[in-house]
Amino acid sequence: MILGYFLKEGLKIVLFHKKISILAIGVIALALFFMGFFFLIAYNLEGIGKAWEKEQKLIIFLSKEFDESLKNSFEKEFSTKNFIKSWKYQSKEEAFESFKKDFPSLVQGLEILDENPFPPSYELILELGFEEEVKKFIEEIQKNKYVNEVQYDLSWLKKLNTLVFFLKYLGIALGILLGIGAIIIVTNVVRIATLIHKDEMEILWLMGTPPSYIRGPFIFQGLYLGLGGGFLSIFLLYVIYNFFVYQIKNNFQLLWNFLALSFLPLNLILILLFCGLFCGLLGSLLFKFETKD
Amino acid sequence: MIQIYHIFKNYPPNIKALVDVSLFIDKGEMVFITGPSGAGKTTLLKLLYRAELPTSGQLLVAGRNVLALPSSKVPYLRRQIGVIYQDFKLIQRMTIFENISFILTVLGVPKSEQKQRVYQLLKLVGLHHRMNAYPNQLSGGEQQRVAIARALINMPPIILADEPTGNIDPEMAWDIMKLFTTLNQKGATILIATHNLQMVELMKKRVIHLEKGKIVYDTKEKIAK
Repeated sequence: MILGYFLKEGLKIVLFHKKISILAIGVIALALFFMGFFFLIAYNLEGIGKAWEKEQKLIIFLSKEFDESLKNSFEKEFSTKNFIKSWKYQSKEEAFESFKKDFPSLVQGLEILDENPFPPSYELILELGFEEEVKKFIEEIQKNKYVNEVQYDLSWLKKLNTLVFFLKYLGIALGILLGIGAIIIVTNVVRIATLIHKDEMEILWLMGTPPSYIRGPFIFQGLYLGLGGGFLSIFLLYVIYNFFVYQIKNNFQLLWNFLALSFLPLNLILILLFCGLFCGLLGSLLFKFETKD
Repeated sequence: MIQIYHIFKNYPPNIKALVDVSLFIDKGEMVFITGPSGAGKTTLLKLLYRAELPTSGQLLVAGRNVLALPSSKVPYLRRQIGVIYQDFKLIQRMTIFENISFILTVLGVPKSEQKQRVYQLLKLVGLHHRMNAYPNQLSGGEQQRVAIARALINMPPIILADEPTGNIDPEMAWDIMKLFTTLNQKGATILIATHNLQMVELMKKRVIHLEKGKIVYDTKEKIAK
């Protein structure tokens, strides 16, 4: 019953002080938005990194002189390596067809060329945890006269992971910094509300209401503000995310397929909401409540 | 029920609201406190429910030493006392029902019982049809009656009333007095601060008269100073 009373009265106070409530919700939302924004970027980059990590690829571009009769000797070599999960050969023609499919607008430019500029290639899918063996294999295969180039680089993955780490902590740092501001705002909003409701609080105190009952609605006011800020920040993030996705989908189809973006997962959404609640609760608790004896 | 020993109450800079007041009120007594404005009637009542602390002296209310009471225990004392304030002290953003039933919510009384008790009391003061109105939609007299209903909702053993009939018509004032008498007959201790000497005379109860913060006479003590 008392929880119902706190919930009801807390909401009434929030609605009664619409302007300052909107201000507080806005400030909390801003703090959480920045935090969530960096989380969102970090989460997607992490996802890309993990997807690539799962499917480590090594691409061997072959020379023009490569003849399909040589395929056997290459594939025999591949089958002896335990870190090679699978391989796929792509002929010059297949490479050209694939390019035409992926970049239809650029095909016209290539048609003026006399010959197919794409080299045949092998795409190898590798097992994880064989970095040294892979390095050795690359050194060996690069010596083969039919091999033009080998594409394999793990350093970008390390850089990506560093970036993800940095973005996450930047988000947290910004969130804390702006969160402190939000807490101060909530404290002041609650202070203003208690000043406006001073007479009412005095009446309740005179009637024999315990201080916890008098204070309860104001703590719930803070919680509502925090929760409101949390929801608003998620809504803003969702709107911006969808706008971004729409732009990429419509203008950069290939990039869209490559990125495979997704919105924040439930656990991060809950973290943002919890941070909002925490800001609101702390803000309302920081306000020193006194009863007149 | 109420014991007051040599109470002094001063307000800055140099206002003596109560001067060496001592009195004893037994359980089940009905007492009128009279006196001109500024005599100290309201201050005396405020000391009893600890809205004010005396400058010196001792106070016992319902077996509790009011001065020694820790702040956390003050609500328990106040729940033993139904107070009818001169300025009603109704919460403007709450309906009449919410104003009256609030303390029952605090005490954990079920909603259905709250509705029943509030309705009965409002019927008693003739305002059962205004249960969902807000205080500012009522006249001064009606607000006074709501304040009375609120003070009585918890069936407190002590009732303190500061000018309870000041804003209501004589007929309703009599009804209120009859209500107090009924409650008194049921065992409640009642203190009423009033200017209405005609009513005091007709009620034939104990009268304590204050002037300039001092007890001038107490009909129980048969003292005429």
